[in-house]
Amino acid sequence: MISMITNLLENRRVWILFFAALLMWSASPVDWVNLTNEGAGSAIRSIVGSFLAPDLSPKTMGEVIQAMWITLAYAVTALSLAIFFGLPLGLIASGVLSTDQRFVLALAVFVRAYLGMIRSIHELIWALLFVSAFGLSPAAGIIAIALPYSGIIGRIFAERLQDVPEGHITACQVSGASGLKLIALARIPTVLPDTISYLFYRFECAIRTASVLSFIGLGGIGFQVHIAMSDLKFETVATLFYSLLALILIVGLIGRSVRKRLLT
Amino acid sequence: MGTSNTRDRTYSFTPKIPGPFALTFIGLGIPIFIASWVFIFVESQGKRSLFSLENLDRAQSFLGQVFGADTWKSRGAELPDVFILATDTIAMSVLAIALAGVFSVVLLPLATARQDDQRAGYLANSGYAVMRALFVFTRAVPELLWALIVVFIISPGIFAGAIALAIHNFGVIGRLGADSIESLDRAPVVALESTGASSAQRYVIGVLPLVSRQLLTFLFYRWEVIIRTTAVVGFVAASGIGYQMRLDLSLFRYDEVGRLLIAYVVIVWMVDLLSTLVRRAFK
Repeated sequence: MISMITNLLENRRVWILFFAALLMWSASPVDWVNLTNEGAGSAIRSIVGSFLAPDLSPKTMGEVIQAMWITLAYAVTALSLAIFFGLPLGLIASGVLSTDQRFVLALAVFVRAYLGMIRSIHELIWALLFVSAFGLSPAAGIIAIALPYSGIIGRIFAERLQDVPEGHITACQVSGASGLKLIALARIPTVLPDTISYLFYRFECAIRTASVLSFIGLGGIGFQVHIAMSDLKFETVATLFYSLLALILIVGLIGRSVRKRLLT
Repeated sequence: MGTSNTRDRTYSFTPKIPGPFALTFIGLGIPIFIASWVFIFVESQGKRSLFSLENLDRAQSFLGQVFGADTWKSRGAELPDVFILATDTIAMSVLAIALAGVFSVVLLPLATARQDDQRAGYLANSGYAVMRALFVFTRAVPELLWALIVVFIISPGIFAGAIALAIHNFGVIGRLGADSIESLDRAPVVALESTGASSAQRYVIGVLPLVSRQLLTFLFYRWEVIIRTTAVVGFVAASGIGYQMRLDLSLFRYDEVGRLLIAYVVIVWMVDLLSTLVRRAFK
């Protein structure tokens, strides 16, 4: 019986059928007849037109740059909190702190479960819960982002630390290092370039997340998008979207050149 | 370095003089970091302090209501409601990943055709530029902001949410897919070309089978992310767990919030398990 189930679970055709059925089932509640709003055609035309000709007037640009700064500030503070807590938690979760102490292993399992729990809930859900529990404040917003991000950073750091090639560790052991020295001199230097470039990727994600903190009532790019949308000023929306693109492109470029410099 | 003391040499450490890049990086990075924290503290002034005894009481009573006795009691038709909302959330995520996957796989050859063609015609080059720009732009804007625009065109519901999720994830999967196609060994494609295969045939027979496993991994990784995000896209698209949760929070129906949170975590874990199983089957 059990072997039948395992065989079934390893059969690709079964999975293809399963996902085809899942897709059909997912598409069934959609109302295909009344799919679009009235006047969708003209809405598409005016949206596409605005993206081709965004509003670049000085007044709008001033607001956009201020919104970019607020979003950047939220992203920087949230990410620095996430790194501050995530990296040490990842170090514990990796279980490399000791080879066979039961306490350290149990702690690793516990920390891994904690990291899994905090990252399974989306940052905006955390934000909504925080606002209900503590009231609205910028601190609630950045802690809401920092929580799941520390979970993700911790997990990635832990996985990288575990996957350090044996050779690097043996080389250090031969020269007399042991215990914490092995971690500081063999494991961490090996994973550092990859981890730093991953942190730059997380920075891009943090900017995206910070831009939608308006959904709990905090300012930034998303807040301005909300205002512009309710005034039907699509040209301003386009400018705001492009400003988000610019922020993320700049962070991506810096991340790429930092990575190049770390690897050479 | 002509010292006779080996010990000194082994441990000698010459600090590198930071180059112009590092100087600009540090010179801009540190002020931005400090200014950001100052901004947060200034903005928090006058708002209720996060860490106060009064707030501890509030948080305690909030938690007590979210996971209190009422959460586990079904008063009438509430438990089935949560189930329907959960199925809406799952359906939205499935539609989203299907749309994103189909569009990126169909459009990927445009983004990578430059490589197949030794002469790299004008058309292949502009296709590459346009597709890469499209991937970057769709990826840079989060799902929620796309959703704000999409509900102008598509009537709110799971399909509108799915399209918003699909736009963002189209960019992510497209970029990951294009990167892995570009790092492929070109030999099979060149061999196909020498037999006279058309570019479409080269893509379907030569390229896709080589990247299909990686693409599958990307798709499942993004599905896991989409499942978590579906809840918040529901705010805008007016469907699923997220919409109801936001409504319940503003109506102080905290016991329902607790049930929705549990349903949400269960769905996230189910999809994690499913993707582990599928990846094992397709290994």
